[in-house]
Amino acid sequence: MAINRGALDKLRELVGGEEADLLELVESFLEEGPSIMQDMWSSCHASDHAAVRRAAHSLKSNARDMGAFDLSQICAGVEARCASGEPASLAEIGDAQRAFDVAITELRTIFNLGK
Amino acid sequence: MSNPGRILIVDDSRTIRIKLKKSVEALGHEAEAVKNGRAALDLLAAKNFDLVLLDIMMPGMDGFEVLTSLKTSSRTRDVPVIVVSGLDDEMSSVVKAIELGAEDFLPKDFELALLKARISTCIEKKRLRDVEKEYLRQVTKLTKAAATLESGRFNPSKLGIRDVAARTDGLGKLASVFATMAQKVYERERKMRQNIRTFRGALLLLACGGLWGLVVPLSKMASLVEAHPIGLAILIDLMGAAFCLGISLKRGTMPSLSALKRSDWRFVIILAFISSVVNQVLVYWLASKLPAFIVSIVIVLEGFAVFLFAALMRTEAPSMKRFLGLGLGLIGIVIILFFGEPGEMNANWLWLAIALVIPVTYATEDIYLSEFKPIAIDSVAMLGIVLVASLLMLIPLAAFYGDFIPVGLLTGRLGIIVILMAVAGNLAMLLFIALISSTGAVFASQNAYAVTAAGIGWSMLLLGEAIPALTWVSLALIVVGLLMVEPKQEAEEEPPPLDDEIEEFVPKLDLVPLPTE
Repeated sequence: MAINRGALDKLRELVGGEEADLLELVESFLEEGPSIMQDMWSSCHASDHAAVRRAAHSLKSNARDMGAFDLSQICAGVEARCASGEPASLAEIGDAQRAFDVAITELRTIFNLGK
Repeated sequence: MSNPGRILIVDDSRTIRIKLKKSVEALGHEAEAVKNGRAALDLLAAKNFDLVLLDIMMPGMDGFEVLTSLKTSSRTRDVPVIVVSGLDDEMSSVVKAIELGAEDFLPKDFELALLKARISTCIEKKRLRDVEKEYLRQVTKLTKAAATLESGRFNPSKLGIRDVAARTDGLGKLASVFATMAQKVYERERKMRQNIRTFRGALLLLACGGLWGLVVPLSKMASLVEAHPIGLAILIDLMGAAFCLGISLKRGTMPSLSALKRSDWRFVIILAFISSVVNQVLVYWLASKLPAFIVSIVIVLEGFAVFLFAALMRTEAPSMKRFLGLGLGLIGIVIILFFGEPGEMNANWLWLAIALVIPVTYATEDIYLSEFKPIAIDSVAMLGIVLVASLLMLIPLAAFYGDFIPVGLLTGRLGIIVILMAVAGNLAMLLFIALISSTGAVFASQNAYAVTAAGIGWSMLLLGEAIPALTWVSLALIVVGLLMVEPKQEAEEEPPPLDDEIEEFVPKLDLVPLPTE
């Protein structure tokens, strides 16, 4: 399981307990996530480490809220590497992409959202 | 929610903005969310917020820059900021943010209880700071008000401490005491100023009446030499015109004749006709036919006539008391008419009836002056122009009736009388214009009292006329009647209306604490 259900319950409680609000957040993530992922790739190709770090930072927080702890952890690694001044590795970003794909597929299933 | 606040959320991630906004709203606060630092600063400049939840890592302007900018502006300096950050890897950023003036921090994966506690604490502190700032602002206002009072300006509406006086604490009581004091002193000063105005008006009235009262016995004296009412009026107006125009030219107050409007010329011509041609000639003519004191007594009716005109023009409500007063005055005149000095009066009752026209034309002049006098033209210059217009009307009249005063007569006693009449009559007219301009027609028409009193006095003094006892009775009736008409009350100036601010203010004066033992 790529998504921690407990994290989703916590998020629902945080925004007031309504399922509709949680759904709105998930949909926003499904919409926003791919572009952040895309940013990470393009910034990496352009060797813009600060931008890679920002994208990883953003995806990390969002993934944690959605219960995608694996993705969040990989993003934390990318962010930390960039923060320390090292260039981001394409392999690491590839890991992030795979974890991201798994996470959004599972989120779609959980919330009955088509592709 | 006991203390809801307005919260601004700044985060570049849309999902996190939605999460924060919904969380904050779930706690009962109002929230607005923007996606970058620039938009945050724009919104903070336009609206008031109680708290900012600020992300640090944002593209473009980051959280530190937003924080620095916020803290340098006096408008936003006191808005508390909570930086939203990951606890794990951004501790140094949090420390930096707090050093830059952030109030606190909130981890990105915050618990609801923590969010609630942090927001409540920040808003509470902000509210306290707001109260403190408002208090200091009001203390400053009160200090300014104290300086205003010290400089002798007591108009309560100008003190600007209404909101301070609305407070229920010590500061509010102090402001109320200030305001009450100011109100009392202001009222007292206002009354004093009004009394001075009334006193000045009364003095002007007595001076004017005293001088005019002299004109009737003098014209009687002139007629005793040789009666030339039109010729007399011409000489008097000639001297008056020379005096008024000379003064105006010297003072530079003479208006350019081409600048006078059609309405100004109409005023000049009508006033010249009523004042000089009708009134003057009528008085000089009747003075040759009747005892001077009788003409003077008739003049007292001017006050009644003005009142009657004012009532007809509905500028004041007529009352039974005033009509009774009017009737009493008329009875007084009838007594003089039918029971006056035997012999002389029996022959003169027709003249007396004609004399009754005088107060009517005088009253017409009063009302006309007060209603139509052009404000823009200097009074002395205007009188000068009016007198020239009078001369242009009187000269053909004198030529027609052959009423010019022979030059030879002017070298003697008559010359002195004419000069005295010109001085008294023209000066009285100038004073009367000043009086009517500042106090209105009804008040000014009271100069008829003074004219009558002075006329009788001068008649006894200059002509040795004996006033029959019955005349005193009728005079008393006329005076009582005039008192019942109460023209003075009508003419008393209205106090300047209190502006709304003061009226609103007055109930607040109840806040003044009673002195405690």
